[in-house]
Amino acid sequence: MSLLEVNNLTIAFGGLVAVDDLSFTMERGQITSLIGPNGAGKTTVINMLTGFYTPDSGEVKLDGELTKGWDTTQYVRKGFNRTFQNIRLFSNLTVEDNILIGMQHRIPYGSFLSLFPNKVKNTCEREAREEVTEILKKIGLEGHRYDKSTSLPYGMQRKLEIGRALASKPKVLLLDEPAAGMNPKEKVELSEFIKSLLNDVDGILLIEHDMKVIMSISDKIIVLNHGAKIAEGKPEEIQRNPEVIEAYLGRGGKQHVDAGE
Amino acid sequence: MKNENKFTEIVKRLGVRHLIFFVTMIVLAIVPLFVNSYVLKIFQSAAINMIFGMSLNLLMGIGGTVSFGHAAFYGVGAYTTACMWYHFGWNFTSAFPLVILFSAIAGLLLAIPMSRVTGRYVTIITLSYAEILNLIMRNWTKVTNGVMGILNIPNIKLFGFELAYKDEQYWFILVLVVVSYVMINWLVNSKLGRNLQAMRDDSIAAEAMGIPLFSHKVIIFTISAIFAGIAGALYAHIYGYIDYTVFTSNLSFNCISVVVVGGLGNFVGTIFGALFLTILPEMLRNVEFLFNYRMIVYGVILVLVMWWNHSIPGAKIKAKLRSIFNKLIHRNVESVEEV
Repeated sequence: MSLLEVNNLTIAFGGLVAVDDLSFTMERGQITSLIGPNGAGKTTVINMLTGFYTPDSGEVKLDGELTKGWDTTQYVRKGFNRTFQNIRLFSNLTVEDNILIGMQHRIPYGSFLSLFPNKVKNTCEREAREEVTEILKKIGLEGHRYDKSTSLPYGMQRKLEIGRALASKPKVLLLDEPAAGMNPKEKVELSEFIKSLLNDVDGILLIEHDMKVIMSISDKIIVLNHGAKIAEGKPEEIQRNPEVIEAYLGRGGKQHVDAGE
Repeated sequence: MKNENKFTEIVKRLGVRHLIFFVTMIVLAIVPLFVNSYVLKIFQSAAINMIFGMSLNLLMGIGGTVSFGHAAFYGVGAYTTACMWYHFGWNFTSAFPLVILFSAIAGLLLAIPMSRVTGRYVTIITLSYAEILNLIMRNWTKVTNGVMGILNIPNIKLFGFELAYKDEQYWFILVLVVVSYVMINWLVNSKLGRNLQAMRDDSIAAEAMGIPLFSHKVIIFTISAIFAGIAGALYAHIYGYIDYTVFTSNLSFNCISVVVVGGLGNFVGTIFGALFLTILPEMLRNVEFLFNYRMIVYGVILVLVMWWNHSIPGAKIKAKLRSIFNKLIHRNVESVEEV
């Protein structure tokens, strides 16, 4: 059984069909990438896979379980978590607190026990903070534990956002343009980092514009254009697919590619 | 040297902010020994404003929602305890659970529409909610005695012991200030408090992390309303007379200035904000040549304080103070060992 199964997903905003009859699967232990020109509907797919948008039709199955009727909290509990295209950290909180928010649904005490000191609360908080140490090690931010999240440099903020998503122990991690705004060296590092994340999550859905990152780490690529899937396959296949080339470079682009330009 | 170690240890365990708070409370507690009854009355109302201010700061600074109608909860608390006395002869202690209950209900009722709106609608809804409650206070004559208000509300009685003197009342309010402060800090430093701050910073990201926005909004509104209601109940008993004119939007705006002057999310700041903004108008009243212009001076000072909070010299002094405290704390001790 596939990790994630998306069948005939469709959503329209007014008259604009943002995602049109999209179907794909994600396998365990793989990085699946979603690419396409601007406005192709990639982020909309992520928004539907995390419960922010309700699709007009179609279904999503996580480990064979239908996601229909879940609210956003359930999506997180069942194993979806995401990062954002434009970084969305909790700006007034420390790095540690940001991670703790990521794991909040796994800290097993509720709002009532929050109101006064008690043993359950203390134990849970201590254990959670111990776990934060591990996550910080993973993302390489041990030294910045008590820094304000927005005081970090850009690349670290990206990593912190990924760390925050990791903290919820997701099955499917959805990364929305993690390499945006990075320099070539940072991008190489990031590719390695994303690959290493597969030890912690079952599968990664990656949205990215940077072809070097995409081609070097993806196991499968899905190409969207105007909300519809135009191609799917391994990186090498996608590179040679005429429809993809047309979507990116326009008609006639193929001759340039063949000519090696 | 040994004393110094002990001092740094206390500071570290408490945190600088808490230390400032408790020192301030001790200083405030000995105030009645030195002042006359008029000044003490001002300090009483400052102390009530501290609880009121902290309740709004919980909502604004931690919950991230500006309430322009916080006087409504204050009024509900005041009227609950006053009506219980007026109609049934209940004293403060027996009415107290009802104060909590009714202000909680008032908070809950506002929270439900509030959790669905943002931005300017927040302002409109909170303002009009307070106006509606104010109209009820004014026109529900059978219960609230209408425009006549409720007169001669007795002193607070704690299990048979009547707080007849101003200093006793004052100390009792201070105890409640400390209790509120401690309870609010428990809340803020818990999972609930953290989640609320996350919602305040970025509600979309908070939702993506699986925080149930609706229930959290409801909880914070309710708790904030309860503290405001307690402050209102104290007001009713300390002043002995309430009518609907006390609980107008004017009171809400005063409360907002207390919070803003003290700093959002900074509860020690609220203490000083309440002190400052309660005592200042009274001081201005006593300066003869300013008497007619005192509200103008008050306004100018308020603007200056706000400017100072965000000005470069202000920021420099804050940074300086912070570094002095840090040096004080870390002089003998290496970095804190965490778990």
